[in-house]
Amino acid sequence: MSNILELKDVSFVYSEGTPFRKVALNKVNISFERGKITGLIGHTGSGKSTLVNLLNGLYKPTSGQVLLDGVDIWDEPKKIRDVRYRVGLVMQYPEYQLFDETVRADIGFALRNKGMSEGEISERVIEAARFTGIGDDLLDKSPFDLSGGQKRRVAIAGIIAMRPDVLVLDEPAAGLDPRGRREILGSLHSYAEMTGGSVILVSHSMEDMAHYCDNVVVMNKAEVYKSGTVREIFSEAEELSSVGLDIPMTSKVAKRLLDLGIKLEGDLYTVEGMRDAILRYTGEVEK
Amino acid sequence: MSEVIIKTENLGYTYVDSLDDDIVKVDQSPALRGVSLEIKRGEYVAVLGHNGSGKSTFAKLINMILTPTVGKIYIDGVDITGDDFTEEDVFDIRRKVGMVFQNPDNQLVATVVEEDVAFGPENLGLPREEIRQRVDSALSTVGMTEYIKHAPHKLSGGQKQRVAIAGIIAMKPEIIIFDESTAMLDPQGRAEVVEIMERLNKEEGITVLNITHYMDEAARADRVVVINDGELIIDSTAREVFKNVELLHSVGLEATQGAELIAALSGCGADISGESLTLDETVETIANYILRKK
Repeated sequence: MSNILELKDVSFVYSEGTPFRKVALNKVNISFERGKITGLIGHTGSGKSTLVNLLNGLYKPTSGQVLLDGVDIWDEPKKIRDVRYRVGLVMQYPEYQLFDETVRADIGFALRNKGMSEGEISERVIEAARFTGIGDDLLDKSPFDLSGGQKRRVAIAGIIAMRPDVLVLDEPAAGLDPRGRREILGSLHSYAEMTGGSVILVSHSMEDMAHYCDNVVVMNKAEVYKSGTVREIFSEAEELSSVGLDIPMTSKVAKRLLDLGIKLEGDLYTVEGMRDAILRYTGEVEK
Repeated sequence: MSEVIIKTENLGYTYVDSLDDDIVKVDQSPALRGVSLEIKRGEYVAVLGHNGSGKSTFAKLINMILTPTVGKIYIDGVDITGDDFTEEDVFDIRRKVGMVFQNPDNQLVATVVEEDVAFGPENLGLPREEIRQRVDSALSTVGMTEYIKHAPHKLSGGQKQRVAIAGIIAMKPEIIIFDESTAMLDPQGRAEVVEIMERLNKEEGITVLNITHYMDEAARADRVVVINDGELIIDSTAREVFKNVELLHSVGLEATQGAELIAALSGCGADISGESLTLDETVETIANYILRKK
């Protein structure tokens, strides 16, 4: 089965039975594939964050099912903790949650809680550190002596060390410089590829979505507005504007060129795709 | 009133580990070194640099959260590093140089919006009517008047940041430093904050320093300063800075998407040239190129 995680008719209502009742998700159906990065986009209040909290059982659906490997995660509520090891959640600004004395101890914290042997922990910690680009020389330092970008990597490594089947990250690159963004988002790609795990990326950056994701789910007003491959979603860039989302800068350029009668074809939502489309149009490279 | 509002000479700062006071760390490398620059009253300056480049250290030196290890800083002609500069004068500098930080939740202190904005002026010991007037005017400037009695924690990120800005404006600063103030906001919140930043600069004549990782924000500034590994390496107009895509890449930064696209085309041997700072310019440059080739 290629879908590792599935949401079936999931609804979530805040403050049910009170005057503050609010439907945050309304009969949502989404599947997340193994080995793929799925982007989750939608403007503030669209239901994205609620959705993230449902994926690893922090919230329980008001109705509907969250299926992990085909099994409803709420079938045995007492085992929900196991689900949290399998669906790793990296919250926004996760570096605020670092606390241990060394980077090594911090990354291995969850594994130790799980009762794993020290030898195995040590192996997993080094593997996770490599994924996120933390050098061996940093492992025995205090996490508080690191730069912001390094701290972020340590926090992400702490989740990756659990080798989750599904890795969910909420704005993992917020506040990082362009190189830091590229490195962290690039490491997610290798995680998905090498472990066959599914990565779910929540971000406001359309450029990052277009560049790093395989599939995209667009949320709007508590419902799935649209989902599909990056190409399917971003080739209809105007639809994204209509639900209050930004579109990649190169898509804007392509649209303006179209108004001038220049119809480019290709992946116009990334710099590279746009470059190739222009060169094909002028005949400088073969079609 | 001096024309040059911020002036630094050979400014340097080295962090020392306060827990290890007795161990003198001689090998600690400076976070900032040899920074000399002048910023004129009313300028709109973007400060770029990778994480850990020293740009936040620079900001903290300007409003005296940190004291320089070496070098001089003059704010509005006053030498804040001089021997005759007193503790009392520090408050004067902090009032003149307001700072808006990244996380709005760390900057709001009161449980009602108007009280939060009044916090600064109250501490200045101003008369009641003056405080009222400043709070109302500051909230109106950031477009938050209708939320005057609201609880700050129930606002959106962008709205919270606008309240934090109102709290700074109520102090009547001459300089406002935005230290990655838009990093935690969604695109709409970000647009709101940038719009206010620009209005304060253009309409109120406040000198604005915007420390940011968003190149599209930096492209809107009059001047762009790039700090790399503690040193000032670029200081020019936004237009000039974003033409040098290779240099920006070499220090871990990017250009605007438009400039990146033009550079990518050149990189493939296309003889394309023209402006690309704004969307309009990028479209024009590419359209001209295509029409010339066809």
